[in-house]
Amino acid sequence: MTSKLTEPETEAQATPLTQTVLPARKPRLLPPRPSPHEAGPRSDSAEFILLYLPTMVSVYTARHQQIPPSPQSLREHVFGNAHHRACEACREETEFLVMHQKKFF
Amino acid sequence: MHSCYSPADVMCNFASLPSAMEATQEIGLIIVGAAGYRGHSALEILPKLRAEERAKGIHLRLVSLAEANENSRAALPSQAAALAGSPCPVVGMLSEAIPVALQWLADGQTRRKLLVYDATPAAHHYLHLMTVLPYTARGHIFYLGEKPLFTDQGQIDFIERNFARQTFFCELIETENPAFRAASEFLLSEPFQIERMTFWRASCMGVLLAAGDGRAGAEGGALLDKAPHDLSVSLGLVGPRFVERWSVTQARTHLLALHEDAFRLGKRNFLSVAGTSLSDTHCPARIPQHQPADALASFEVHLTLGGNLVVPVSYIASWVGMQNTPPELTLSSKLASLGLAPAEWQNHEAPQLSSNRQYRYQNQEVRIALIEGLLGNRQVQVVLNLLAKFAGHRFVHLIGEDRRREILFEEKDACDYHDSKEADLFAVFQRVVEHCAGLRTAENVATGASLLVHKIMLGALLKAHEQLPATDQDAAYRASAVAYAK
Repeated sequence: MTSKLTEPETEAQATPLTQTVLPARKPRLLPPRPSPHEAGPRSDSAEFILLYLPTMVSVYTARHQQIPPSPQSLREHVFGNAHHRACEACREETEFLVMHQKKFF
Repeated sequence: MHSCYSPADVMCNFASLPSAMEATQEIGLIIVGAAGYRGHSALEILPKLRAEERAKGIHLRLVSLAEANENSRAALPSQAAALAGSPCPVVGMLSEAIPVALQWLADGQTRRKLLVYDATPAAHHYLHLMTVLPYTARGHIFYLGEKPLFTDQGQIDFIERNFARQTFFCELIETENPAFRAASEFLLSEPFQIERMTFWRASCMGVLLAAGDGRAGAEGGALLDKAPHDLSVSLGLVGPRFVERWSVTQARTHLLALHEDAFRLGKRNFLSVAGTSLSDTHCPARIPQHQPADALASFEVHLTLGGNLVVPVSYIASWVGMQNTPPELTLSSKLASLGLAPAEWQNHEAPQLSSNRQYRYQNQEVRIALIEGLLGNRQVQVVLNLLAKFAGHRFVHLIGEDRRREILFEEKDACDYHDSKEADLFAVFQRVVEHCAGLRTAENVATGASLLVHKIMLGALLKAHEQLPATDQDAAYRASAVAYAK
C-alpha cells in the first residue's frame, strides 16, 4: 500500500480530527419580495441574459419537468415579486450555479 | 460580458422537431471552456482533424471559442489563428457564441451543421446542453459534452420527455481507447458469450484536490467522475442497443470524499459533488450540487440483453487509489489467480510534494476490466488494461483455464499519457464529426448510449446514498481521513 496524503515530514499520519457535530441546516423560508426590482439582476442586463437565464432554464426544467412559459414568468418563479413567493429550491440552485460559473471567470 | 440579443432568444422555442442526420460537407465547431485542460486538447487536435476530414470531403471550421476566464481568454485568438488557420470570435459564455453559430450556419451556400464541444466543469453541462438542444432540430447545432452530462435524475427525465429523439453526444472517451476497440472487435468476431464483467477504475483525484493540486473543474467524486467511463465500456462491449433492461442490484459508498479544509483546518468537512465544503451528510441535499461526493464506491448492475440473457456487471470507482475494500480484494485475487502480476495493472508515480509544499502524496491509478465468458465451449477471461500512464501500457489478453495467455492487443511501448488521451479524443471527435456529416454513426457516444450510461450511474448514486442517513458521520470522516493518508 502506498502513501497518499501525508505531511511532508511525517509518515502516513491522518490530520487530527475534530469531534464537533455541527447542527443540521434548517430550510429557509423566503418572504415575498417587496419589489420586483430588488429580486435578482435587472432583466435587461447582460448578466441576466447570458448567465442567469440559461441557468434558470436548466434548474426549472430539471425540477419542475416543464418548459417555462416566458422569461418573465421564469424570473418571477425563481426570484418572486411583490405578489408571488420565490421558489426557494430553484432560487437557491440558480444562485449556486451562477456563483459556480463565476468562479471560473 | 456583453449582451447582443434579447431574453426571448435565450429562451428559444422548445418545440421539438424530428431530427434527421442528412449528409453535409461543412461542419463548424465551437469549443466552450477553450482554455481549460480538455478544451485546449480539442484545440490541439484541430489541425490533424481538419486535414483528415478534408480528405473525406468534410470541411471543418472553427467558428468560435468561449472561455469564461478573462485572463485565459486573452491568448485564445492567436492560438485559434495558429491552429485553425484563421481567426475566429472569442467570447465569454456559450450564450454569446450561439448568435455567432447561427450567423455562420445562415451564411452557408449549402446545408451546414455545427458542433458545440463543452469542456466546462460538470455542473455546467446540463445548462449548456439545454442551451444547445432547442437549436438542434431547427438549427442543426449539436452538443458534445464531457462526462457527466447529467448529475440529477430530473435532468435526464426532462431530456427523455422532451428531447429523446434529438441527437447529442457525450464524449465518453474510453469508447475510443484502443484496448476497448480491440476487445470489442474480438467479442464481435468470435462466438463469445459474456457471463460477467468487472471494472475497477481508481485515480487519486480526491487526494490531489485535498492537497491543492487538483485540476480546476475536477468535480463530482469517484462515482460521477469515474463510473461513466466504465459504464460506456461495458455497454459498448455488449452493444448499447442490445440492452433491453437494467437494474442496479447493489451500490455502496465505501468512503466519502473530503474537502481540503479537512486537512488545512482539521475540520470535519466532506466534499460536495460541486466541490464545496459539506459539514453534514445526513441532511437531505436541498439542491443536487450539495450531495456528498464519494471517494470510493462500488455497485453491481444486471444488464438484460435479448433472449432474457442477464449479464452481471460490477464496478469499483475510486478517487483515493487502492484501499483494500472487499470488492477490490476480490478482483485483485481473481487477477492474481489468472497469473496477472500487480505490476501489470497497478500504476504508480513516485511520491511527490504538493505544489503548496504542505503535503506529500503518491499518485496511484488502476483502469482494469475482466470479462468472463464462454468462447465456444471454453471458459475464458479477457483482461483489458485501459491505462497508459506512468510505466503502464494498454493491453487486452485472452486467458484460458490453463492460465495460458493470448495477446489480443498490446501497446509495444509505454506511450505518453497526454498523447494517448489526445489520440482517443481525436478519435471521438472524428467519429462525432462524421456522424454529423452523415458518414457513419457514433453509437457509443450518441443520445441512446449517453442516456443509458447516465441513468445507470445516477441509479447507482441514488442507491449508494440511501445508506448515508444511517452512517456515523464522525466514523465516516475518520475512515476517509485514514484512507487519504494511507
